Amino acid sequence: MQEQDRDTRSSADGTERPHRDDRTPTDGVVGEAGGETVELSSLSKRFGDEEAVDGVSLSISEGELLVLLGPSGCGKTTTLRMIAGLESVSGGSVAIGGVDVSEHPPQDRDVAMVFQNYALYPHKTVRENIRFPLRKTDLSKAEQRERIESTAALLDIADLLDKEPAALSGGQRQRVAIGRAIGREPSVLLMDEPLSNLDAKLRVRTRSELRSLQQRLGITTVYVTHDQEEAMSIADRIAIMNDGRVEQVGTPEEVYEDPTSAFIAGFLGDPSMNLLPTSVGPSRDGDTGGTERGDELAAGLAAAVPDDAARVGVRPEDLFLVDGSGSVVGDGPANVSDVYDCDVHVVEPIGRAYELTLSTAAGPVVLRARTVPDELRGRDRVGVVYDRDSLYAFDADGGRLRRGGNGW
Amino acid sequence: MISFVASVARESVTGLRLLRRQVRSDTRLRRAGFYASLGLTLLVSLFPFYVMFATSITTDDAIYVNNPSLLPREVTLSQYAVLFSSETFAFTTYFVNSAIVATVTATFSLFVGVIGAYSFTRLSYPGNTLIRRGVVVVYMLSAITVVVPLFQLIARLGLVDTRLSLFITYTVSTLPLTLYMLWNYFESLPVAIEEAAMLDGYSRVETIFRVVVPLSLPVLVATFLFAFKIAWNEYIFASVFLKSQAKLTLPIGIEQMNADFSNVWGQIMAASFLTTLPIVVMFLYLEKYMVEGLTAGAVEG
Repeated sequence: MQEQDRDTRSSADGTERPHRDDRTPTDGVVGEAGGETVELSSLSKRFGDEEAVDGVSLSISEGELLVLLGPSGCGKTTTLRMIAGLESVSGGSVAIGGVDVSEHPPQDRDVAMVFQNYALYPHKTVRENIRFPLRKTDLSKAEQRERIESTAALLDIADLLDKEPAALSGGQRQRVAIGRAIGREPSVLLMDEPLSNLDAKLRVRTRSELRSLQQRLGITTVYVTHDQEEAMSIADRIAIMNDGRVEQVGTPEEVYEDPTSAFIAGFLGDPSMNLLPTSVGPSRDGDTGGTERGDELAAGLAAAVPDDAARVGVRPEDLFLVDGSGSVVGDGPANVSDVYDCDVHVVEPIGRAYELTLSTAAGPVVLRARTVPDELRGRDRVGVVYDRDSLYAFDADGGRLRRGGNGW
Repeated sequence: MISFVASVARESVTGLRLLRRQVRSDTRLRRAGFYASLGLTLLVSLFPFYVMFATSITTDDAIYVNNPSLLPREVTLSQYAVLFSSETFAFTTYFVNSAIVATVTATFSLFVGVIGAYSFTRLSYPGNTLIRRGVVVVYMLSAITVVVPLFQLIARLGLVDTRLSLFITYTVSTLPLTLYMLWNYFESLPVAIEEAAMLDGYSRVETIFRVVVPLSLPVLVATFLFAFKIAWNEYIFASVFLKSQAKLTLPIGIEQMNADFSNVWGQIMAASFLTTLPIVVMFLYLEKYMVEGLTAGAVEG
């Protein structure tokens, strides 16, 4: 199996790798390790009557980092475990490097995994932990030693090699777990919420390190997380899962700017998109948007989208404050709406910006402002406009209603 | 009025004091009870052991006096000397037999126990729960109730008066305990470590022996000791299945000594003491492996 993998890999090296080519060239390590494609076709998993994963089809190219993102219980970890072979497949198939491995045991798939809780071997030192998978490769003793040293140097854990996991901090254990996984240069690297046990600061630092490491090694990576910010920052592409199905696949920009459903729109972004029901406020008969100052914001938003929309969405950063002179604070949008007066419920300074929670007839709406002018501070009513080009409309089932050529 | 208040106050103060004294004497009583039960436990568990040891180093004359003393007046090792020099009583043979039977049984029971307990906790197959319960039920059966049918079986298999008969019956009778101890421990091991090993290229069997077993060392040692102790002390099966002197184990040997010779209490006690010794020594030696917390640092959260 090992031999076969190696053959397919070397032949794959000759073929085109569209994905890796758009990346900035790095220090030449790329290509040594390489990765395999991963193809999931209508992959399903049933636990009793429950459909945990329901017909997931995904195609992951060589060297790509794909993030499976979704709320807990959406089936993302189960999908990952099926790729690993830790969970049997109820329907569909998993192919790695063009070979259907659905029935293969984990040890024959040439995949490595970083577990959420690291799962280090507690009775082995760090060196032995990293060596453990190498013993199953055809590397000689000397090559193994060399590989351990280079992996440790790469992850900056060379001084920990003779310690046992119990003596390490969370961040160090995490690095050892990654070292163990990448040491043998697997075709596919699987990561199951690898950063969730780190504190916030370390998490942000480690994720960028992970990203650059993955790009340098060019290992095909499937990364599971429920943290949309982590997903956006690390992914080549994100597959957003909900209720056992993939709702949308795309680059972080695509899924953020062009969500296909209300679920995705509401899941991405921090704070997430404001989603308001359109069945609110005054009758909209004959009203083609554009209401007078003082009207209700929720009603105004509802009026700006087509009648068949059940919900209207606007991102917090697409809402703007209006100062006393009636001009928009900061860089306003090109297509600005009328001004609405809103009650301010809460103002949260979050450092680089302010988050204002406004009360509307349809519930709270969050506005994000780079600055709040002095004259508006302490006021419990402010003028607000929105970017008319950045509204999202969703039908009753949560599907996205798209804008036509001219307007809705 | 004032005197009434004063008397009430005085009464309540006395009441309080009484109450407090009650509490104090209660704790004193409780402490006395604690030490009494502790003393009783120690007496019951250690006194026979002491008498055994004391008798084994007492001369025959001193053993059979009318007013035996708890402290041997004269210490002798003659009882032990007789044990090892006697031609009629093959203590060394019995000891070796017991050692062989107990070691083989405990090893085999541990091996089967590891695989069985692993399958109980990690694999799902039809009948898993049924077999698990069956194991516990078997453990509840007492040896005396199954000895006759078991003898028929052993006789049918042609294994009467062989060590193999003991290997088989002892393994079977220690297995429930072995399985129970191991599966309880395996359930506490994080599955992710085994999954990591499988992803690192190891098969399930390799994972058991390279990851699960090293991590279970404390409980494996404890389980081995228990199984060894059961086999070492077993009497009923050995007394029924064995005939020839050369194959007898220690409990049978000692019992025979009592039956065949009279007035050999000193030697019986010496033999009993030597029978007990290996278990105690093994426990003291292996105890250091029975430390907890082997999985520290394995998984987070």
